[in-house]
Amino acid sequence: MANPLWLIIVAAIGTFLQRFIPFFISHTTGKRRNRNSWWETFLEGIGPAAIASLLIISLSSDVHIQSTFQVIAVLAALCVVFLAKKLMGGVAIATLLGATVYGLICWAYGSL
Amino acid sequence: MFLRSASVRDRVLKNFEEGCFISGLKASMPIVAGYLPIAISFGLISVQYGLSPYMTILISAVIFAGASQFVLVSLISSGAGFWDPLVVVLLMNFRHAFYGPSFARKLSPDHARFPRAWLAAGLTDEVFATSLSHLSKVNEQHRETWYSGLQIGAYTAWVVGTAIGAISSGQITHLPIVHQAIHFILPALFMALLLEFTSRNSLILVFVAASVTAIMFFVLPTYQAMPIGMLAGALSMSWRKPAHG
Repeated sequence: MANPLWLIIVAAIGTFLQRFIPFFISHTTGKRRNRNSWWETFLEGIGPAAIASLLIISLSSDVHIQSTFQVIAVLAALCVVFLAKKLMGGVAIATLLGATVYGLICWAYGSL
Repeated sequence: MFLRSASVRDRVLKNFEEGCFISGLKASMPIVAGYLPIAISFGLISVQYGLSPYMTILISAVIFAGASQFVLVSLISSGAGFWDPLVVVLLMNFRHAFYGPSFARKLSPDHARFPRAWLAAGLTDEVFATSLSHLSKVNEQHRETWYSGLQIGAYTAWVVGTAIGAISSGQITHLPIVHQAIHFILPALFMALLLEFTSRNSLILVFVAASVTAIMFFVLPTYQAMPIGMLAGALSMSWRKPAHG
């Protein structure tokens, strides 16, 4: 796409409206959601499902696995993310530690 | 620009004096610490994908939705057109639609200080989670001011971090460890978010979404494989938990 400006603007408006409209309606009417409906359950699953899909896509697209050593680096980094998230709780620190471990292993492998 | 009258302005200023805004700003510090490195990574990756620093900063300033921004720039750089990236971004951010109703219950219409649009604009995952855990400890009259401090802190960190990454990308990526590490920022972020969102009940959902995405990835472009996997995962959840009401 030569100039994505309109895409960015429409995506921004859409994202804002997704936050604003339910908040505005709920705030003005005070109505409560029916958490047992099929649609609500489906929408509830969208977030985790999106993130699971994105994990697969990012592992496939961003990490170019070309050797056994890189497989080990990916697995080690994912383990570090898991442990950091479980032990320290924060998304940011787990992300940084995982990326750092991956970078260190790949750098060390490249230096051998 | 949001202040409609002198009386409203006076009330907001009074709240500022009482420290509610600063208190909210302080509460945003953990979010700031989390956002800065990820925003810098976004700036780096976006510029590496070929977007200009100006366009990269604009994305963070107007969309303000972490993971979907990464996917947006990835799809833009792959030449995905207009509708596919738009649908993917909106589907990814659709979970935000459920934050508003929950957040609204914490605010009293009798103590409205700011336009609803202002409050909704910064309702990201982290801001929502932090506000829900703190708002009950804040005086009902000052909650909106407190929340404004929280979201301004988070938003500023996101935009400033993006600018740092976008402008300094040439220098930062010359460091060999950083050069390798940024390739793993996204998988690490999604892994950490997955652990944040996933409960024991949603393990099958995650498995279905991941499996379908992986299979679709071999036969379809990324921007089509991802929403198909996501919808399959969400459908598996609603199929397993049928409606009771």
